[in-house]
Amino acid sequence: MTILYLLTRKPDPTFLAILSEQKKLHKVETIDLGTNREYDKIVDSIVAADKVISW
Amino acid sequence: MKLGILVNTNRNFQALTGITRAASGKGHEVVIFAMDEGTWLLEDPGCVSLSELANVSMSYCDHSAIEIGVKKEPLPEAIERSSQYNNASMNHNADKVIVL
Amino acid sequence: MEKKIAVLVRDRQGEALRMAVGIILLDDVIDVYVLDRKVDSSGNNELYLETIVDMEMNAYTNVKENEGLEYLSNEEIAARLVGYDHVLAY
Repeated sequence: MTILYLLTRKPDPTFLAILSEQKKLHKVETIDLGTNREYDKIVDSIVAADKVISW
Repeated sequence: MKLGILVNTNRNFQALTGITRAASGKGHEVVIFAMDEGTWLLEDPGCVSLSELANVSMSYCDHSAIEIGVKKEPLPEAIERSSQYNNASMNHNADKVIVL
Repeated sequence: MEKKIAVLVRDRQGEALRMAVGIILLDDVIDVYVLDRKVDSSGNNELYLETIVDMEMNAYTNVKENEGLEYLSNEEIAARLVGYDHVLAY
């Protein structure tokens, strides 16, 4: 499964723990919306991901 | 894809407009629901103008807007004054939901 | 079709819990995860939690001090989150 995380704040320890655990079983991609402005590509990533989680 | 965007802060305006415009341009349906601090963005013409885009619908939690004191009188009719029912509907019907 | 939705309650507990209670209107499955903090008993938080119990919604936490909520480790939460249609981090 492909999981896409969209970050809107600084990663916290709980996020990092969850990310680390999910990476053992899934393909995980992270996009920092604070710095990434390539919105066409971001939409494509949202479409392509099995799960999208904002954090 | 039907994309739901829950806007519960006023900190991600650029991402909101960028993702909404990009998704609309690609022919995706976008449903925006604003609540809590996200209703502040209803005072921003750049946010309000998203309701004019193809395949984009917008609504907001009136309870939040009243609590926060948002000036919402000049809002276009396309932006629906609503409740958590619209949030429930967005989540029920969207393929993907992001939170900004 | 019924959706499975997780609401992650973080720093703005009151609005997050109000939303969790509000989005049950279309009979989707709404599970609540209170993360990293004890539930603040001020405002309507306790009323929202009572409603969550009354509506037979599931409420979890990674903070052992949160009485009445089922404790889960971050590893268990990580495994559960992939099972939801939507995860709403508030």
